[in-house]
Amino acid sequence: MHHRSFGGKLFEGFNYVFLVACALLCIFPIIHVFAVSFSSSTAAASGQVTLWPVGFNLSSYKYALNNPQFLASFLVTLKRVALGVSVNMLLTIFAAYPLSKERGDLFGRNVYSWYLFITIIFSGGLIPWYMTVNQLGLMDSVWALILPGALPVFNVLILLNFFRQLPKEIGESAFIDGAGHWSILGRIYLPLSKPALATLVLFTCVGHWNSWFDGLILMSSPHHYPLQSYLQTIIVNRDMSLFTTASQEELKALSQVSDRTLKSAQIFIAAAPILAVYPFLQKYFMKGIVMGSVKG
Amino acid sequence: MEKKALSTKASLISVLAIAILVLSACGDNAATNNANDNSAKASNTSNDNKGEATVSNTEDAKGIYNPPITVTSVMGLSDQVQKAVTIKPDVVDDNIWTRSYEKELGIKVKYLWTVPGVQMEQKMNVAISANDLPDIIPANPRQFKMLVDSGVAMDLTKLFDENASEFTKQMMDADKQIGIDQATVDGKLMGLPAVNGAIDGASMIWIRADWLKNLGLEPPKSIDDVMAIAEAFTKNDPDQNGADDTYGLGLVKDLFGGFAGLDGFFEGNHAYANGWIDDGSGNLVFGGIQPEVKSALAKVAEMYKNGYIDKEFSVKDSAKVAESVTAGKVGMQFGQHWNPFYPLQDSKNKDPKADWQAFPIVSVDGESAKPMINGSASTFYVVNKNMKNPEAAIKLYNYFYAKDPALSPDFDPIYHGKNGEQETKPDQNFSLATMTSFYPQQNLFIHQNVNKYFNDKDQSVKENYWVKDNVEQIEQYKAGDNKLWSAFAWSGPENSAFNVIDFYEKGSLFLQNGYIKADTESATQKGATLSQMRAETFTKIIMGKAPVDEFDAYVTKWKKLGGDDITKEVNAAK
Amino acid sequence: MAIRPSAARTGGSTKRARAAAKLKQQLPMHLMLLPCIVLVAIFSYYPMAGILIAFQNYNPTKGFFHSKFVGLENFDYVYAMPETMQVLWNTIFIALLKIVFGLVVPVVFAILLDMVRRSFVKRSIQTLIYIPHFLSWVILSGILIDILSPTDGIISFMLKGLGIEPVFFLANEKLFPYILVVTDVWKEFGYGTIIYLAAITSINTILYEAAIMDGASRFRQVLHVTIPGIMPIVVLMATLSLGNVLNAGFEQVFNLYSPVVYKTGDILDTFVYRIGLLNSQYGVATAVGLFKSVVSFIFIVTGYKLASKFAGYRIF
Repeated sequence: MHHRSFGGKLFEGFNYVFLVACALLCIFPIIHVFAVSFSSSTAAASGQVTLWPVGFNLSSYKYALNNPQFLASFLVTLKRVALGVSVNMLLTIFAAYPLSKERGDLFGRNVYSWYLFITIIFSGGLIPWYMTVNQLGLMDSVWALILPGALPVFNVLILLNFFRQLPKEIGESAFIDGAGHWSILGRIYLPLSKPALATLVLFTCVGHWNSWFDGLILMSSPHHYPLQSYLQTIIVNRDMSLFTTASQEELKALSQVSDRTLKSAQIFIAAAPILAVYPFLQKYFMKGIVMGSVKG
Repeated sequence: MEKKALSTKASLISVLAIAILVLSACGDNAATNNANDNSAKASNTSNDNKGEATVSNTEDAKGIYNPPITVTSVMGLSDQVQKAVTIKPDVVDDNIWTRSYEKELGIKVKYLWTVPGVQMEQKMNVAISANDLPDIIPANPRQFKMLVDSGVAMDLTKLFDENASEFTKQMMDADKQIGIDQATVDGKLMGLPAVNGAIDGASMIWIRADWLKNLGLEPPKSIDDVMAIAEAFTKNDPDQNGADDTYGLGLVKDLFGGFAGLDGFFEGNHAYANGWIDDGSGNLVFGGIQPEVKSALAKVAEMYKNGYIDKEFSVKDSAKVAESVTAGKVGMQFGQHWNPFYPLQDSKNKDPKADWQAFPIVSVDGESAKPMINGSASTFYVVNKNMKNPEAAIKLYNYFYAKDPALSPDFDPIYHGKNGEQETKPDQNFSLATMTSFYPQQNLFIHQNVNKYFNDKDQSVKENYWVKDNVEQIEQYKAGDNKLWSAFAWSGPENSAFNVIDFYEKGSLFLQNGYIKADTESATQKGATLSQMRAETFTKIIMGKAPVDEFDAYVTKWKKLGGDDITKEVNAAK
Repeated sequence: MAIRPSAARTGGSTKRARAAAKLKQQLPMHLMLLPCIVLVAIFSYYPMAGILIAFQNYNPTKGFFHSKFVGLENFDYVYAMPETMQVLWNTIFIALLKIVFGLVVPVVFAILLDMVRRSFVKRSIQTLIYIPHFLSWVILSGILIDILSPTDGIISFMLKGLGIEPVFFLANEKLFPYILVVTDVWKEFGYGTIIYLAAITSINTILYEAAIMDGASRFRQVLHVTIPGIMPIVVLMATLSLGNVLNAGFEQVFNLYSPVVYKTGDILDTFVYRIGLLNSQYGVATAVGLFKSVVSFIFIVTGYKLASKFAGYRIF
């Protein structure tokens, strides 16, 4: 590995340039949002802002951070992510471990698998989902946002495939040493699957952080909206056909809310925490030696 | 359920209540049929109702329920209310309206859910489909039709007749019964219209008068003038910045609508793309397939070809066009009365010289241009047929008319919420009322009195709260507060939005759309296909991607793919 | 497990005892699955009764047990609409391209990224490329319309620089589907890269060391170690993504399309949305949803069978 050919170096150079170019291409939109959020509202309203703030000011951040609705929603989201990710991960692990076993080692394995797998593809749709949550009395509770998707089957498949890649012998030898399934799972499987678990934690985090539709439909008042549901109500384009019959007061209010800088500030604040979580989880992806250490 | 109906019967006292009881008993039977489907919450609330209704169904001498009854509803929160909530979190459940309802009517209003206005439609659609509904259901026209079709809506014909106040009825007359007509299905009143006034929907032309002046042009008198102005605004550097960066006419990708649409331009060509017109023999025909539409399209296509319209209009929604307007790239667009508030105020903020003025639409020939107006209500309050005291809904409706219009004998501005007091008294606001319905000529009335104040120096008009409010804002604008320009451009004395509406009204120029009720059966079934076809054909013709003659093929297809059926049904239902 | 002498004498009871012991030993695993099974039963299987709506003229007050059954009328209705076939074709075309590129691009990118030695650069790039995933199409469409504008967009500016006539991308029937694919891949590839990078990092380093000892070049290491190492997860993702064969991306199309590109850009979901928007026909919407599910199911199961038959991969 110490000796590299000229061709190898050339390739490496190109590789760097290519990857960095891709990365720059990807941050363009967020920089734009960032620039708009720091610009004056008239500059933003006339589409003058591209990558650098025009008429720099902080007022939209001040406003967003003093908006009780924004803060309340932020808290709901934090609660949802904490509870939701815990429940998701717990159930994902509980489902993936048994299903990673062979047919002979788990009675009814295939029935279980299909039972879960079918739900990825078939669903009753919006209305029955709403009715179910309503009948269970979960409306307006944070559990309405967590329980219906408590078991992310897609993630189960990813994790069980990771589990299956683990050398079988370790599990078996632990078993002979008298360890039960619980301790094999906790002491051997989980520590060995850190990259997979970190990936899934990130996915479930992002999933809960970003979902907005369920909050909008299942919560009974805007105080209980998670952040993205709230954001959706300010981002979405208004139905202008309603303005025709709006009263003067409503119209007056309208002239005050068409503020793109404020929207951008809130979008940015909402995206920031999840972007901050990523590098933290990333260190687990980087630990490629995990597997190697098992045998050593 | 039957037991409850019986016990309700036992508590019956007044003769008047018989009709109500029969209706609610029917409601109960229907509820029994689908008890399975009723959600926990819905049955809870109806139990609440029954609990109170069983004790006493009576009203005291003044018509106050004693003990108070509970009525459920839901609310789409306007921007103002959302702001109020941030100041007083429980404002929706505790405000001047809820307190007065309880004190003066004996009605407690309970909101099952609230949602920001922009998401109201979606949330309501789900609630309707899951049959999870309150007593009073605010519905848009489509939802109104669904509620009527699925049998949720109660027939209010008799109830309204008996319980509507004199003033409420006067307001319906002021509306020429248009709202009531919209809410009537097969001769039965199936909801209470939230009246706003149909004339406010008329098109007008908004032009930057400073650009006209820069180029030495006059306001348009004809469609040819409009096209000439569009040309000059495109080619002659109207903003005098030395750059070729402007174009004449703002247009949104949807082609029609209240801002930068083509409605007004088409109407000037006597073409009514979205309306039903009399063919001269008393039959209604669809305006969108008449030959006038073709010639109007040809003119728009010509403007596009010459660059008077943004080359990229087909991907620009109203927010994007608003950006161009604010950036000072557009000098003219067809729109409606509300444009000064959004987005023209933004344009004015950016460039105080931007002098947007409203002008009446102009004609292609000697015959005067007529703006088409539609219904006067876009929201209907449907009364759930399971509601125990449905007359309470009409009382709430009356109550708004009693307190809100400045013409009402019981008017009190604190119910409306005074301008500038939104921060300190967030619980005083008209949009917190469970049901709202306005004096249909409110806006025009304001303008006419503002005019009297400025033109005739008539101080007395300021006794009216609304007029005073507008006069004060306009005076502040004239004193230099640029942020209040929108009030001036809206109700002000010269070249304002309502100057134009007033002009139409005085000249009896409004053309009433021949059909303003909910979509007919075929329109429901085929509407998606037809509107998609239209959008595709019209956009392509304008962009020169299809010849103007493509319109003829479109008309043939339109008829074949359901248009003829719709026409038949519309004529049968009108 | 010690064999007891008493059990050895009577064969039948031994078998039973062994089965019982096995079951007892398996019990913890069944317990683990129990909460999953229950929750899925409540929140996935119970609402599936709603599929009945597809065969009904659904009336909310009657619910889906008492609404009128109309057989396949809702399916006929969609089938009879003149634009259905075109829309279906557009959907499949766009979705397939997205599936292919949505799979290949992240895999290639993950491999290239894994070659970067400097951990700081590697991490930074990885963080940056997944940012677009967090912006909704409502926001991105506004930005894309600007970027792709033929008059003052960056792309046109570059094209002009190269002496090429700028194109109005979003109003070009031929290009529109590809614009959708490129922008979608651009938005999502960084996010997809994460999973493959995690897979690559969990490949046993001994395998690489062995390959280096054999004198394998970088390229050969990728070919013989990395790719086989991540193949199971790639097959898994590929098979599961087959379920998207009728999902061409509602939010994206809805925010970017216009009537001029209906012919190539209108997809099943936008089409149903417009039907639904006009009149909330839940029967029709559910019918289309069911159709999509059945097709996805067929594709996924076929993919699953093929993967296990020809490559020996098991998805679950």
